[in-house]
Parts: sequence; structure tokens; C-alpha cells
Amino acid sequence: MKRRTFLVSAAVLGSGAGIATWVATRASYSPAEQAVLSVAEQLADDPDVVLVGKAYLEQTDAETDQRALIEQLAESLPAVKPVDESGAGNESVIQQVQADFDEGRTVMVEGWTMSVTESQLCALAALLNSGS
Amino acid sequence: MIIDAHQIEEDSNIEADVCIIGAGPAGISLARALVDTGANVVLLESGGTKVEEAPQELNEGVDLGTIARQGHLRRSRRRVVGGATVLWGGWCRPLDAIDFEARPWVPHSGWPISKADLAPYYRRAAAVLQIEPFEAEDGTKLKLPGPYILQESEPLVTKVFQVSPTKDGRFGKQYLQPLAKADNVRVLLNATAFELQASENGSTVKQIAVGYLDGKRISVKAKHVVLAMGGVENARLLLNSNGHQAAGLGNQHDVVGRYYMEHPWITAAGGIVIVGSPPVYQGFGKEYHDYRSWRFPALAVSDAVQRRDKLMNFRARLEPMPTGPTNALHQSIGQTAAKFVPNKTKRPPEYFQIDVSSEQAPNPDSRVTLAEKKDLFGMPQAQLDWQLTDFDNRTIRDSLALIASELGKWQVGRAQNSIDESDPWPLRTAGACHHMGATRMHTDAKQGVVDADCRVHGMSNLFIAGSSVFPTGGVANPTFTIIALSLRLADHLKSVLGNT
Repeated sequence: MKRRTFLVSAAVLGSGAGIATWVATRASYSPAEQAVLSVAEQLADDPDVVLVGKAYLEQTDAETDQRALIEQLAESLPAVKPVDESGAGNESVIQQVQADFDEGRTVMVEGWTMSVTESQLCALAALLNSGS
Repeated sequence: MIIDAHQIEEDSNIEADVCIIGAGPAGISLARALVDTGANVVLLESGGTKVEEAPQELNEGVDLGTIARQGHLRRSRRRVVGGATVLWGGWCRPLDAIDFEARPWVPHSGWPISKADLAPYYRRAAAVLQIEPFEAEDGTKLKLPGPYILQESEPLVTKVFQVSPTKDGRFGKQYLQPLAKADNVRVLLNATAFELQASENGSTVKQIAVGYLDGKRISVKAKHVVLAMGGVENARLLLNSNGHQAAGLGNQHDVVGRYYMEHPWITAAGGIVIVGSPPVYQGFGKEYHDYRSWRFPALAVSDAVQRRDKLMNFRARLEPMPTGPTNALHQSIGQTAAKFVPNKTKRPPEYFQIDVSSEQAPNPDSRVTLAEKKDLFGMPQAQLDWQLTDFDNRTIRDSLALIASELGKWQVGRAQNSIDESDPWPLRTAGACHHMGATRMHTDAKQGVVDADCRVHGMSNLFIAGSSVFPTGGVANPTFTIIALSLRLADHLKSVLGNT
């Protein structure tokens, strides 16, 4: 089941209060934050991304908060757009990943050098996948 | 003429114009270059034409150092015609120009000669090793065929290596017979030089004490003596030649044996996964064969980055991993990276293992000394204390980080560095069996053992050939430079012989 489908199903099956909370939370996001969430939700269906995200989360204390991650990513990705159903890569994400490497905004995950943006997106995807 | 030492009568004295001790790549190249001079040349070889157990026993020694390498002294050397070329993979490359420079960030760096001084000898060495010249007289540089990355890019560059067909023991076999036929050359096999007997003031080698495995002793008197015994043995023989000079010949300033270097080699120091186009990695992990030579590229750090980041020379060889890494997370890194590159390749992620080799900084505490235990000639065994420093390791770590950064910038993949400060020299670290520096070249006798002509400071007739004279080692395998230096020494000896 796709992550988005699952969320919708959960919402339908859930309590009215739950739906209201989810809708309210979602509505509180800025367009950029909603776009980040959209990108991360799509990535959350990918077990490779989730595995990398979990590895990143295990080695960092500061970025395990979903909301904080969304805010940070929205700040570094102001031009990010929600992904469409085709799953086409988001140009602004790819550009930011390259900019991260250009500017030295990198982290090590199990010795692999990754961009901060891609690592945070993987972490957010892992958090979404785990339902936190 | 080839003579086995056991055919020579006890206490015989052999006279020569030039005695070369050691029939490895240095000694053979030097002897060949002297064939047309008419000088009476004796080439001593401790072993025979085949690797045999008894001479190898003489290579036993004590291995100490940053990395425990029990048995290294024996495993890494051969007493046989051809010397260590019987173990050699044939990799050839000249040192880079920057390797010869006195680099302020590399302590004790700097050769008294430049790459330009060696250039004509490198071309001649290429002929000896039956490879293409790396740089023609008109300056044209050897390149690899086909499209591949980094011909002249920054900050990473490609270094081209060639593989000599004289590897795997063919060097000695190929060049022994021409020497045997030369009228002016005598090759003495199974003849081990164990002491240089000098004049009382230590300025001249009067004769060489030579032993045969059955205990027989002979001596050689020569106008000029050249040590070409290998990176460790050259220092060992000087230290053991202490009849009149307690510290050994050429060691009035306690330099002999110090500054010993190798090329630290770490297998699987990292990994690379390629997921994007353009295929900037093309060529790495591949070898090119044509009718003339066998070449391959190595990924290296540019001179500019070495200067900027205060690093030493470094090279990485990429070994394809067709089935990818066994670690699930490492596999996922590649799949994930593919989502963040603009031009994903149609192929699945391609993984390479990174094997690295780097330059080691000259270090006076890294040294060859004499052990207490003696060999059958009564000569103390070599004790090798190979000391690596944090600077040596930082060069590797920072260079790997540079590769990772560049792959990200190029949007083609990701790289892993398995070396960190908590375990800087993992168990899979080794030396490349490139023994360098223990009788280093320097114009100042307080900082080197030989001068720019490879003559031992303070001695009139003693010279050294081989990688023990390298003040620094770059990242090129040393054999090519050893031969170039031997050919240069031959020219010097010719001029000296012409004046005597």
C-alpha cells in the first residue's frame, strides 16, 4: 500500500478527532513544508531510502523530530514542489543536493558522504514510514 | 662471464674497476650501462638464478613499527638475479615533478635534483623496461586511449601507470645472459657481501668481504663500489661496516637507516557507487592493452590540492565489485543516491572498492638498525621499525573525503571512507614492499647519506643505487625511478672512470 493511500485509509477509518487533528496539523504547514512532506512521503515507500534514513537517525540526536526536520528542509528547499504521481524527480531537491556538496554541507552515514538535504529527506521518510 | 662463488678458491682476491653489489633492477641496469665502457666490472649477487631457500634465510630480520608485519623482511625481498623484480607486478610510473620539490608542509622533503634532471633517464629506463616513454622529448605525455575522465582536471587527476612485460622474474632472466656475454663483466652468483672494509679514516672502501654459503670467504677490491642491494640491505651493510667507523660507513651524522619510508597501502579503504551520467568514472577499474603496452589509470589528487590542503601524494585504484557490497545499508546508499542525481544511468548502481596508496613523509624515527641476532656470515640481521604518523594518515583520509565530495559535485555517485581517526591503520593496511629512504640523497651530509651523484658523503669511491636514496617516495612504484637513477649513476661513473 502506498504511503499516501495508507494515510487516507487511516483517516477514513480513524476517529473523527484523529481526522480533525491530522487535517489541522497538515493545514498548519506552509506550502514549502507541505511540498517537503509530499517529497518525503513518496520516498517513505522506498525501503532503501528508509534504511538510509534510519541509519542517519541513529547517529544524530538533533534531527529526530519530524516537525523540525520538515521546517529545516523547507528552509533549505524554498522552491521545492510537491511530487506528481509520475514520481518525477524534483529539480530543486537535486539542485540543493549538489549545492550541499559544493558548499561542504555533507554528513557521513556509515562512512558514506551524503548531502545534508538528502540525508534529512531520508530521515523524514523513515520517520513517516514508522508512523511517528 | 657468470661464476658461481663456490668455484672460487678460498681467500681469493678479485680486482675490478667497479664492483656492483646486488643484481636487482638497480645493479643489473647499472652493469648493462657499463658494458660498453671497457671498465672491468664485477657484479655480486647473494643468490643464484633461481629463488632458493638458503639465500632467503639471509633476509630474516626483526619487524617492528606502527603496523605489525611479522616476516615482512623475508617475504618482501628476494636474493636472486633480478632481485625484487621476481615479486614485482610490473607497475611503472615516474615520480611527479612535485615529488622532487622541497614542500614546506612535508618535513625533510626535497631532492637535490629535479624531475627535469631525470627526464632523459626516465626515457632510457622505459626502454629497459620495454614500456612506452611517459613523456617524449618533445614533451608529449602518454595518455590512455578512449574517453575517460580527468585527463587534466582539478582537483582530482588521472595518473597513468604502465605494466612492464619484464615483471614476474623476466627482468633478471632477460638481462643476465647479455651481461654474461660481455667481455668486461663478471657476474658472481651466491656471493654475499657482508662488510665493506675501509681505510682508517673511513674515506675509501679498500675491499669488500664476500662470503659463500658454505662459509668460504673471498674479497673484492674495486676502484669504485656501488651498493645496489635493496632499500634495507644498503643501510644494513653500511651500518655493519664499522671496522674503523664505529657507527658504520657514511654514518658520521647518524643518518644511515633513518627516514625509512614505504607506500602505505590500504585495501578497501573505501567504496564508490556510480549512479549518474555522464560516466565521468569511465576507465577507472579498467586496463588497456595494446600491442605496445598495458596501461591503467589511477585516481589521484592534483598538485594544486596537495599545496592548498597541505597533503602529500595519493592515488586510488578502483576495483569493480560486480555483485555490489554485501552490506544492505551500503547497497541502499547507491539506490538512494540514484534518486538525487539529475541524469540517472540506466544501469543499476555500479560499485567499486577503493584501494589506496599514499606517500609517507620522511621521518627520522622510521628506521633500519642492526638487530642482535646474526646471520651465518656473522652480520647482524636488519631490524626494521616502520613508523607512520598522523600526517601520513591524514593524507589518506582527506584524499578520500575529496573523492567523495567531488563525486557529489559531479552528481554521479557517492563515496565511502572506511578510515577514521579511531582506527587510522586498520589490519588490512600494508606496505607495498617499496623500501625507500634509508640512505637518502641530500646535499648536506647531516641530512643525507649520499650526494646528488649518489656518492656516499665523506667517501671517495662508494656509491648507492636503488630506492634507499629516495628522499621522498611520491606514489609511483619505485622500480622505474630506481632504473632511471642507475642509468644516471652509470653516466657519472663513466665520467669518473674516464678521468682515472
